Amino acid sequence: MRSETGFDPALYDRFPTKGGRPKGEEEELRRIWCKPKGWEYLTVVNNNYVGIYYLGTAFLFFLMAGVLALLMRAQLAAPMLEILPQGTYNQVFTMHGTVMMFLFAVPAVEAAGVLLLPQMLAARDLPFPRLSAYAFWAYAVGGLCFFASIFVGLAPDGGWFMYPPLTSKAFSPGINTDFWLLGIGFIEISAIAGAIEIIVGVLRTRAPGMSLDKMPIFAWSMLVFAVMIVIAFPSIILGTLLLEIERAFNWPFFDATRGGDPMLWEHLFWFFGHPEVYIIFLPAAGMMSMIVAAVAREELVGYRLIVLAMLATGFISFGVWAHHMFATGMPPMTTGFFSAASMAVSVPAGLQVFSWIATLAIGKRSFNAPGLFVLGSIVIFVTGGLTGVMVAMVPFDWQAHDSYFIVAHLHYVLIGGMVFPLFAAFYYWIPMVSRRALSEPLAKWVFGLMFSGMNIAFLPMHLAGLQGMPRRIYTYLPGQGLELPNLISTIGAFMLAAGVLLFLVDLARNFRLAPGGGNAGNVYDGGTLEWLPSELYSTRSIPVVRSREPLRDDPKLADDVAAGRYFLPGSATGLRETIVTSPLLAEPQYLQIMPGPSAWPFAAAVFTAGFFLALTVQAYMFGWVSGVLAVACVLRWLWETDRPVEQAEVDIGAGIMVPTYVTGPSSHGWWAMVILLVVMAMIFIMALFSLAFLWSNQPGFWTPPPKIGAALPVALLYGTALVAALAARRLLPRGAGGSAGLLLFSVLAAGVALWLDWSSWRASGLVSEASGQGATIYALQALQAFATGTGLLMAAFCAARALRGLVSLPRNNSVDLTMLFLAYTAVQGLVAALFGRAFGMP
Amino acid sequence: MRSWLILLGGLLLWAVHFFLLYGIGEFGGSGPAARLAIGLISIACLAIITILLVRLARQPREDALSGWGAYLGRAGLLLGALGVVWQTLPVLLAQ
Amino acid sequence: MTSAGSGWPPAVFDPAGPYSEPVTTLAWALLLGGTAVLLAVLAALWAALFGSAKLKARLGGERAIWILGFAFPAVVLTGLLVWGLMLTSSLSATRVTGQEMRVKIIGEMWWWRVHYQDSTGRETLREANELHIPVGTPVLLELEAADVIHSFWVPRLGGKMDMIPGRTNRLLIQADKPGIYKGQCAEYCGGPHALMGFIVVAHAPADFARWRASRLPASEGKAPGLSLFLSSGCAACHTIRGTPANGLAGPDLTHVGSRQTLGAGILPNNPGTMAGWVADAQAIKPGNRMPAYHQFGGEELRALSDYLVTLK
Repeated sequence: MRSETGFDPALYDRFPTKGGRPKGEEEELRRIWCKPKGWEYLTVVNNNYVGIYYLGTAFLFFLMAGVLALLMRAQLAAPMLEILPQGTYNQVFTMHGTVMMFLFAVPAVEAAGVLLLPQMLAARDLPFPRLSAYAFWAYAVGGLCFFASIFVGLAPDGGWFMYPPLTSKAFSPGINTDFWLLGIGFIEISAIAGAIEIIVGVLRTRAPGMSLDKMPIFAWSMLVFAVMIVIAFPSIILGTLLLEIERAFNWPFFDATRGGDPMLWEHLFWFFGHPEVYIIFLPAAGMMSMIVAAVAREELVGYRLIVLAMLATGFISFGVWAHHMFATGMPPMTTGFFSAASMAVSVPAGLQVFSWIATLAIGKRSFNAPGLFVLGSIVIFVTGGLTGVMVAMVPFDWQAHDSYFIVAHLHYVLIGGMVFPLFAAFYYWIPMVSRRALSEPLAKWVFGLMFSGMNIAFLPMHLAGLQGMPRRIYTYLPGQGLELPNLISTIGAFMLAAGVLLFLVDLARNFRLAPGGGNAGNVYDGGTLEWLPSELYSTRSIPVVRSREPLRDDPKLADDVAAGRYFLPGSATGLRETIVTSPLLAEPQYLQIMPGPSAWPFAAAVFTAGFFLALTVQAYMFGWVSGVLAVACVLRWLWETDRPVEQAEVDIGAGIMVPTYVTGPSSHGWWAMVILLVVMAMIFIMALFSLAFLWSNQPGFWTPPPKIGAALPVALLYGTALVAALAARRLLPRGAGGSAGLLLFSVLAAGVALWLDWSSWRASGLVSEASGQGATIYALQALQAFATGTGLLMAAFCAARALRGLVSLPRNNSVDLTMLFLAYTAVQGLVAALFGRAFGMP
Repeated sequence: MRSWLILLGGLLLWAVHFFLLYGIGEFGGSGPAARLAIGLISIACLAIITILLVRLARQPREDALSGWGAYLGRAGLLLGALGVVWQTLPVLLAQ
Repeated sequence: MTSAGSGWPPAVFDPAGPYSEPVTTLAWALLLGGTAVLLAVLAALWAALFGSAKLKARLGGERAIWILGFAFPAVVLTGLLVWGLMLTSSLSATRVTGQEMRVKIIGEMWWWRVHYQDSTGRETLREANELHIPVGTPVLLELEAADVIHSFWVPRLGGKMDMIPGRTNRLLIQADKPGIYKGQCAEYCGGPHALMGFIVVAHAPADFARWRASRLPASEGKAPGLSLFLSSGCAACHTIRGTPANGLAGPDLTHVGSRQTLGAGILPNNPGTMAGWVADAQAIKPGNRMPAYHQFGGEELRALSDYLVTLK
């Protein structure tokens, strides 16, 4: 056996350990991971609570957006009805799409990850519990306020895709659009926080021995999901930022009359928007794979092919964005690229479907609740996939695009690919968190109504589309043959809703939360670690994983784990902690000390939401106060972290010693910072793309940039900033003060460089309001200013900690991470300065 | 890093290939020069895929994970090759 | 002339020209092929659950996954891709011979300007919401947008093409049979997007020539409707060539009486609907840019609509 970290795998043979455990060990674990009381329910950070809150909130949005769908179906039941007036309808369809995509689908699967992953990986919690809590509260508060806009008629009405110029100030003067831009931009940030958490969680907190090839398939899907969020969401964050700046400050990014281009928005939106569909689908497919295996009571056939399929989907889905733009007049060769990629992305989907069928073929046949929803999902999803291949054909798409055919297609894909798997997951995993399982007899009715309702609602829409019915219409004229298909669709929609209502009844009758143990247990006989007996601290001890379905392969495992015969049977330090393992082979590396409950993430989330909402309703004073308070809360929360404990090394079981404080590239903080920098880099790259795109499409508005030679001082200063940041880490052993000083100096150099760069553009006569070029150049500088400002906060934070003697020597995580951020900032600034000058050089 | 490259090699190549093609199409037009460049890039990608397939087949298996990774790597290369071929078809067929 | 269609057969399956016909063939192939694949997957699912042990064993391994999930789609999709790419090229307006009739159509919130051009691209006639073409002749449309993004779609004559501010997109359509072909804006453009209709009227060549010849400016005359039109502010937005009315914001009304529809494809055109439209266009198409003229009495409305419907 090879080792990844120098850990000797033979040590695993010491487990399960013999002999009893000391008395009081388990009580101590219970005390450390205690239940919240009263107000403490707001300050919990444990994934057992945050995961449930998260999932519950996401489901609430599913129900509310579903009600909006019913309103629309009522309006469209017959031609020229006036149930919803035009303006309201336009808000309702915009909110339905937006809420389903941004407030239900992505958060729901992210929530499932937060709830299930630590259990499946046998970690005590995710690596950044407070970040999870922050992400959840930001989403919940922001999302609910956003949704409330519909009750006062201020909901956005530009479609969930928000194409300018319809959404520009000229054609949408109200604050409705701002609700969307600020609300959604903000919720994306929460999604990214969750994604960082999940990537580090999956790669670094798996149970020892759970190498990549033994990882539960759901963890694989969440890993790909989270990486895709990191790559895709920056595009929409940048897009919303640019459009909001255009609306607020009149910078013409998307205004064709001033050298902007509405097509730029389409690219930015769909570069996020299409991967988004797979971002939603993959975790649901991961759940499907888990549930299929459990239902069939067999190990998943084609596990490795499914992993490949998920990875391939993750890649190829980034090459399909422009298939939403086949009718925009792109040249045939370019549409051909996207058509080919759209075909290619269907291959991995086929691999997964046939893996499920193969698993069902070798396994037992059972039509329990998860089994029914799994079968329904396969049928619906395959149908949607096939119409997907149809619309991947450019000439057919010219007819189908923006018609009800697409409405049918996307609902087949999303309901089959996400909603049905989610319901299967509800039935399958509710016994893990609830004292009682849901009702099997009732489930047959729920499934029957949902499955038939879904097909009755959406099958006729294919026809309506081919008859010529466009999407997003609040009514239609009689006499076009559209009456019957629409009436049938409406009936189907209400049947689907009846199924969901019945599910709610079942939930009310049987769902009784049991986070601290006493749950219904392994009703469906799953083989993965989430079915180990667990309490708030997760499992009593953390098992060595030797196969993909450890519970099936080692019948004694559950007892041994509960008796504390594996890793970390108690708390080694008296604090919350989990084992950090290596990314490939999951060898134990160190013990992570985890933060406990705190009011600060909650407060930070409320103030962050307050900041964005106040900007939306133009209460600027309140907004800025909220913003400052939000930053203060985050700093306060961080102040408690990054503190080494007394014991430098501890026994995590069977005499295996690991350190309790690790810095540098193997620490979980370093990983999270690198991922955050990838997010920042993606935002920046999309901004560079915007500049190149406008240069290529609107050359008539281009003015010559300042000379590239004049950027030399700028480049030298950024170089200085980079060197200073790197040196700060190197010089830390000699003292925290000097190191913090160097960090501050790095920020100063970067700030001066930015100021010089900005001045030279001002001197060249480029004005941000005058042209797309001006807008984009200054937007690049605004991004740079944001990075520099954040770097300043971080450096000042390190300096304050150095003054208080809180910086550990010779290595310290806060200094390391600040160094990484400042080094990135310097490089980004340099690239921005050179890239801006390169376009349109004489 | 090596393990990840083996795992993702074929897909990474597909991605590099796709974004080069898109870049050429978006910023370089679809004239004969652009088409020629794309053809050469495709041939290069397919050649790299072939080389990697051969090398992966010869690589010794150190443990369960690397054998598993090698299988995935080869399957990914196969998928990548299909993608590259499809991605090139528009150059030949779409005027 | 055939009517605008009852929705059956569905427009996409009822092509009327060479730019829609091959897509219909493709659509049938995709629909039937897709159904066949769906049935095959259902059969596999059925076999996995209820099939014989032998069948189950065949399905239950990686070999089956490779064959059904990789090899089969690889072959089928390669074929489809080749077909799709070749068809895309042959239908695209990148291949223009110069023999096409040329028309510029500009999408507005929530109607269409139709500017007929000669072969050099010079504008020869302004109309709105209705395109007249001769059968058997390809028509090259130059599609633009005046405000927000719209999309031009007449399914029986061809696919759709977006109209994007700052760009001119080109689309080829052709009708092989005389008739009226309905279209509608396909890109959400706010407000009454649902009621932004359009029609194409295809004439036999001789009829087309007659129609074209009839496009003369209105005579000023002494119709009481005209003076009302001029004195009530209508002329601020509408043009009637041959009269002082030269507004540009709304549709050109020089030949409004000859149009099949009112309000951009949503009402039949007769004196009654015309009067109704003038009196309260907001009730008919809420949000459109034509204000309601509640101040007109019945007499005035009759005079105005009688005049307008005579503008043939």
